[in-house]
Amino acid sequence: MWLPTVFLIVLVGTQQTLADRVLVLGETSAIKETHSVFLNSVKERGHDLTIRAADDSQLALFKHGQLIFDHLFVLAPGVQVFGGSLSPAEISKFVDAGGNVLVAAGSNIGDALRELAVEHGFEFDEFGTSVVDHFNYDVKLDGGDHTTIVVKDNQLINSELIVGNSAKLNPVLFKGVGLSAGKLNNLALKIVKADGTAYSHDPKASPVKNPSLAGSRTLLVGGLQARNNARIVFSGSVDLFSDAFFAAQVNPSNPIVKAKGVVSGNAEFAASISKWVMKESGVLRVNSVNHHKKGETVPPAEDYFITDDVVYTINIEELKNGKWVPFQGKDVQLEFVRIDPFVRQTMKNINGRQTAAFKIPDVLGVYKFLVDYRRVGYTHVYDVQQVSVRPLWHTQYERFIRSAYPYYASSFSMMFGLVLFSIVYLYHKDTPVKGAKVLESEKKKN
Amino acid sequence: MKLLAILAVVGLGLGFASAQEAAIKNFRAGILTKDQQPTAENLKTLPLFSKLPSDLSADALQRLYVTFDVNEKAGGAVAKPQQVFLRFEAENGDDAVFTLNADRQGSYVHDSVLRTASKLFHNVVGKFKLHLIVADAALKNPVNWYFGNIVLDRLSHEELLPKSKQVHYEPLKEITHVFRQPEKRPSAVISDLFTVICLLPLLILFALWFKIGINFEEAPLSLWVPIFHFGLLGIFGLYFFFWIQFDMFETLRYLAFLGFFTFLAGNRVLRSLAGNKLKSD
Repeated sequence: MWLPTVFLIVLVGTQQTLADRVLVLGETSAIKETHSVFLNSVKERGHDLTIRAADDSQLALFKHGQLIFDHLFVLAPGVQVFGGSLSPAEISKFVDAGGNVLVAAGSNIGDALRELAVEHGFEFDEFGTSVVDHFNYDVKLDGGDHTTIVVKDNQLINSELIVGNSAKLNPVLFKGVGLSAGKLNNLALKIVKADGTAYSHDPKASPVKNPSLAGSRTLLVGGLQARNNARIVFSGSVDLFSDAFFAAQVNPSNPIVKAKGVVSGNAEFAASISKWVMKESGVLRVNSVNHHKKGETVPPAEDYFITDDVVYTINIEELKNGKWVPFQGKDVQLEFVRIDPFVRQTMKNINGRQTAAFKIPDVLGVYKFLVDYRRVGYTHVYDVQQVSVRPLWHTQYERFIRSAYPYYASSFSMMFGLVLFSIVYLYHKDTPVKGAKVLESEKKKN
Repeated sequence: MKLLAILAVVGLGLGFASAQEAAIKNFRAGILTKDQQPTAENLKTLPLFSKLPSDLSADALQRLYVTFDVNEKAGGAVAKPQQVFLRFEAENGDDAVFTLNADRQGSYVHDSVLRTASKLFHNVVGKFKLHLIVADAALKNPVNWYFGNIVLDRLSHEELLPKSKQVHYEPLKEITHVFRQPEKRPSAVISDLFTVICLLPLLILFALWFKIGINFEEAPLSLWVPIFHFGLLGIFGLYFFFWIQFDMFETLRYLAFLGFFTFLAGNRVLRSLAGNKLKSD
């Protein structure tokens, strides 16, 4: 009886830790052939791939309210309506539940993907448009429209976690539709932006009157990390992930790009971006948090007092190659907040153990030790520890101040004087003095 | 792969078939005030690929005026390339792009009040590089000409995001709490001097008593006398301990005891003193 249960637990356990379940949607199942290198590389990293056509009537992301996939790759630009229970709203729900999504579009973009992008704060340009760059196209691969674009490393976002080492990356080929980040999308990451000379337009149309997208505001690849740390990437080009572009040699028209006749950097780029989307890179977690008075090891039993010296420690770990290792970042900041931060300090990192030491402000109240670490490419680390800070007991203030000695002296000399005076006043007897003075006074009286 | 190769061949074929070269002529640029007409004086003429000698500078009410003609190099026919853009590039790499439209003679005019144009800048201010981009898939010589700089003053009000919507990816400025400084205290010499001054009245009292000569002749011979005076001393001693270590409740407990006896003794002492006086009178 127990053996099957253990087996089941082990099975479930391994499924959750090792193999992430990925649903890959292509326009047809031919995606298996045209994008085989990319899909195989994901499979080789130990994930379960389920490849379906985007209009398959059996598609679902949830079963009994539970996610049945961890990640969703939509490599189907032209899809108008998703099959099964899938819809842009459903995918949005998937993201809310923590699922990660990679979307690759193209110039034949359908309504489904445009709607999906809008749901997540991005906008793809219209059907039939392409990103055109007359200064940065590939001389050999391009069909004369200058839409096969060669992406230089300075167009990539400055984050090794997302795009890999951009300095070592060969030029990346791109052919597809332009993307723009919504004005209110504060979380948007411009993963790959177009060069300043690019614009998004129908390459066959008459002169551009009013391009919706032009210059480096045009995004080729955009992404965001939602507030629940779910990751979404929109690529304007599905060809970017294709076998043809992975194997292609780059012959840029722009003489500035030195790399000529080399194999494109698409494979490396696709690998690092898929690792980022699938949360294989740039994932942080808080292991333990501790705060205490200087010289102690545990938090005080009751409250902190004002002007106490306090030590705060947080252990942060990073997921690297499937293992949790100490996080080496040196820019984690601690805030001591009472509505507004009173103290903000960059912590010292000793092999993942981040510490900060400071003196508690001389203002009482309820405070928070707050670590709010948000960096491009990393998951958001947010940790709050609430403590109260109380004023000193009346006995904890300084006593016997030198400059108050005159007050002490006068009070006690007064008391002592009173004791003596009471004795003298009560028991002193005036001895009558014989002589003129008394007589005179008696005379006056009379 | 095969498809791509075919595409490439077709593309190259197309390119050769319609390849032409464009010439940009009569390029003039300048800043105009609100109602000013463009004339030869207030516009600068520039040959292709040269740069304005000095930076243009403008505020929100002025206009940027740029005009030029695009013709085919061979034959001089009117060329209508797909991309004729005026691009402002800010120092941080952000940019804003304006499209230009040709009239029938193939001449282009850009004339915009910078305030209305400023909406495109997303509140970026400062120095911008000006680029003229003329390109087309069929053009052999696409032109991306950096022809000068323009310095723009603050064009529009910055819209501040509420704190809850701000997203910071960079480390923030460190904050160190500034503690309230303790008040300045007098030096030890001064406070000691004043301690002595405060003790002086007691000494003066002793001196004067010594001078006039005191006696205790009226003291009644009674046990109540020492009890009363030690009680009084004890009350003040209790005061001292209240200052040093006791709390109020302890002090009151002792005071009730001490006070009762001192009161009783004081009463007795005064009564006997009054009795003595009556007798002597």
